[in-house]
Amino acid sequence: MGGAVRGFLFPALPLARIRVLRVIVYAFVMLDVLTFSRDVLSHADNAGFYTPLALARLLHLPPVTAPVAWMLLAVILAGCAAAIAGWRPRLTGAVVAAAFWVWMLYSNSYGYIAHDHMALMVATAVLPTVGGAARPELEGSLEAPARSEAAGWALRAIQIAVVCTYFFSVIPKILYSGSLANWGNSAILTWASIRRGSPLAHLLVEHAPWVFVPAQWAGLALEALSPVVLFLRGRALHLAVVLYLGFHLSTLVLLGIHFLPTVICWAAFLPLEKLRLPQRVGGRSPSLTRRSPTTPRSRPRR
Amino acid sequence: MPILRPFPGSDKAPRRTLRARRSWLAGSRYPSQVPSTTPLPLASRAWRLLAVLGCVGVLLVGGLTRSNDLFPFGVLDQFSTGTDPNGEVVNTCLQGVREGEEPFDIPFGQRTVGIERADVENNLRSIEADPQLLAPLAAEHDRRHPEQPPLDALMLCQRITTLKDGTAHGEDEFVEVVRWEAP
Repeated sequence: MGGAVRGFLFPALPLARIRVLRVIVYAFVMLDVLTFSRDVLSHADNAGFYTPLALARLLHLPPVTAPVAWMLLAVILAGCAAAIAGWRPRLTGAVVAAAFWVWMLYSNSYGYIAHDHMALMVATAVLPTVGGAARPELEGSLEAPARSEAAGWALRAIQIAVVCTYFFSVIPKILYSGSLANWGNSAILTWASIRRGSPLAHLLVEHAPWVFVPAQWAGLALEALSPVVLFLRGRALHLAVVLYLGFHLSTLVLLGIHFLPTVICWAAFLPLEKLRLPQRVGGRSPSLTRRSPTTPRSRPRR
Repeated sequence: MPILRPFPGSDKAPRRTLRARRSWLAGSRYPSQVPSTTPLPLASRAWRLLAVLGCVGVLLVGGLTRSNDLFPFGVLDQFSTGTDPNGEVVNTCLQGVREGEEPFDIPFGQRTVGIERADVENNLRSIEADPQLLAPLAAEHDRRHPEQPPLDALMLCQRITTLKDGTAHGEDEFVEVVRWEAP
């Protein structure tokens, strides 16, 4: 395997970052199944709308019933709680991944297919592949953290999924609108504002519709250039994260579209190991918060 | 899986730090061996590489074939159809009908009729062919409003806004698409 590929896909990153990311991801999954993707529970009454996706057909998933929906919900919540508490996070994470993927297949097999969960689904799938992050005593100190290529790959996979969420949305814009210029110069934001806009969006439609075309081009630029983020580091990376989060904040304010399942996965770009979790959360031990007197100081890499 | 973590107090620790630093100075972003680094065996790296390539490949196929069926790696087509600045905006709506009352708007959503607007819009043809598909929506609405008489009918409708130069122009047009009648 080439050194460049190995350096790109398998960077040696801190195990402690995985443990913090687990807490963030599984806490969000709990929130998600109780709010944003809660429609699975009501789909139990909408069997007539069931149009199973390819993966659902492959798994021979029948239309969801109330007992199945509640059982999945219970498994996901219990699994997430256990993983957050640091109890066998690879095992509980694998259970959460399986149950959450089935949950999402159900959520998206009744007509509307959302695209904001791709990175989150990838995150639940890859987090259980990282060994060692459940053992704080192997994580080293904050200044000289234990690193693993498995952790690096998992974080890279989530980062790539985040970037793909933006980058691959450019393809259908070309295919459905004829060209990127057609999309950029269209009235798509007017359309969205009229259909689901906030009072502010309706105000813009009425008094400043000229703002939408430049905003559409800015959005296109963010999507098309998103792969660059994978190569940024330090302050440039943090600025990029703020820029993309600002984009989501604006769509939230104008259209009520939060894209939180993707937003939360931007955490995979950040040095989460610097966060100080409560002692028991994620199985954290106090030793991680202080520098080991015997380990040398090394320069943090990300 | 080997753990290359220096034993506390070991004299090997400074040497590894030096090696890591040399690697850093040589321009490598991710040195293959740094203090406390667990490398992956070749087979583990291979399946992980294939998994990434496979998922990105499916995403590419999904995008190029406009297939949403490949979820979660299908076409990412939300808001991808540019609207003609001089075209129209179709806003799907629901109206409840009770005898002796004016039809009234019912919002879509899990907490009102048990389903979101986008789910209904993506099933519009099926609903037009079989208005009975609206029955669970009416039942859910009635269940949530036990103090009121049940709906006599549920109307799926559209409010159509005409655009001119990218902004709303004139009054909305109201169109009844299909109606479910209570048995």
